[in-house]
Amino acid sequence: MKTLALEAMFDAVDRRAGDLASFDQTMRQYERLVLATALRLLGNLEDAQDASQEVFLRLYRNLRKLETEDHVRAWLYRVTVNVCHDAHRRRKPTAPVEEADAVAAADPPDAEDRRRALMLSLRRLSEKERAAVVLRDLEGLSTEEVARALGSREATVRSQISQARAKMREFLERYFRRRL
Amino acid sequence: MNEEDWVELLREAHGEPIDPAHYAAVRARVLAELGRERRPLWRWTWVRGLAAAVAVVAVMVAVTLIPRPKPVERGAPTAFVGPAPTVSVGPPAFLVYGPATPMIAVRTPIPVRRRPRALAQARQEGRPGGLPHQEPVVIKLLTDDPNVVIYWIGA
Repeated sequence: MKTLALEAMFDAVDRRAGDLASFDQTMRQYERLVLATALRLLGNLEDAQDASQEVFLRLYRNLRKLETEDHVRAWLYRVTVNVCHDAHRRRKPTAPVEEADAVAAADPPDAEDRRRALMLSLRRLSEKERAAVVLRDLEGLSTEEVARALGSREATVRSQISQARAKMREFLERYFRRRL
Repeated sequence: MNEEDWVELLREAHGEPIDPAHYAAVRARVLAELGRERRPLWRWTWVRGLAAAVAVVAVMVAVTLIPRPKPVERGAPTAFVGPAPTVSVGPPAFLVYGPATPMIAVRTPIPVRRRPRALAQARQEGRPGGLPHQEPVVIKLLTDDPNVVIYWIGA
């Protein structure tokens, strides 16, 4: 079922004239979804912005093929994962993962600590594990939706999430044990 | 810290707001890129239309103004009828033609387009005081084949 906002958006794109202003509103609606997901998948803001730009350009070109808002969200997750995968292949190898030992503060974890722990733990995962855990645990998609977005089977996604959680738990326990 | 706790911890970290300036930067880049993509489309349409119009006009001009070359009228091939040359018993280097039977040229008249310069020269020759009429220079070439004799006639 199409929402009124989405129908208005499709109509605006059909008119072609002045549709950029309408598309700007569309981007505002989905920018957090795209940028935050890309940020967790790629690990840095600059690459995430590049990926977001590519995702929204693809959305503009394919908007008329998407019928409902649910389709738009699922499509955005899938394309974001694909674009980030392409960015991973293109970019140079990153620096070695920073060890948790390097963190020396002794206060309870604040927002910055949590963000740091999140980034470091995600960097320990393989690309597929990271995509699965970001969509499932951080974005809150169902396993079925994650499988659809990744083009995998649900059993595969469950396995990837299980392995990812094990690795992250091990890392985070070590990380916060050092902290406390 | 159990699994639910740290998953919730990570979810909180993930849910922390990103600076709106970063979103705005992405939107600006997307809109600028879309704007760039649309302008060249119109410009190329113009160029293609103009090129097509020029090509059509050029073809029309070529068809209407350039005269088609007239087909060349070709007469029947010239056939020479005459006695075959006889070879004397003497030294092999000389050819002796048969009795004075002239070679008869049976020829279909071929319309010859004379160049203006040749026409002017012919007119000048016909006038009093014009150039005297000169006999053509005939050069006879003997070949190894006794049946082939080449005549070169120059003006």
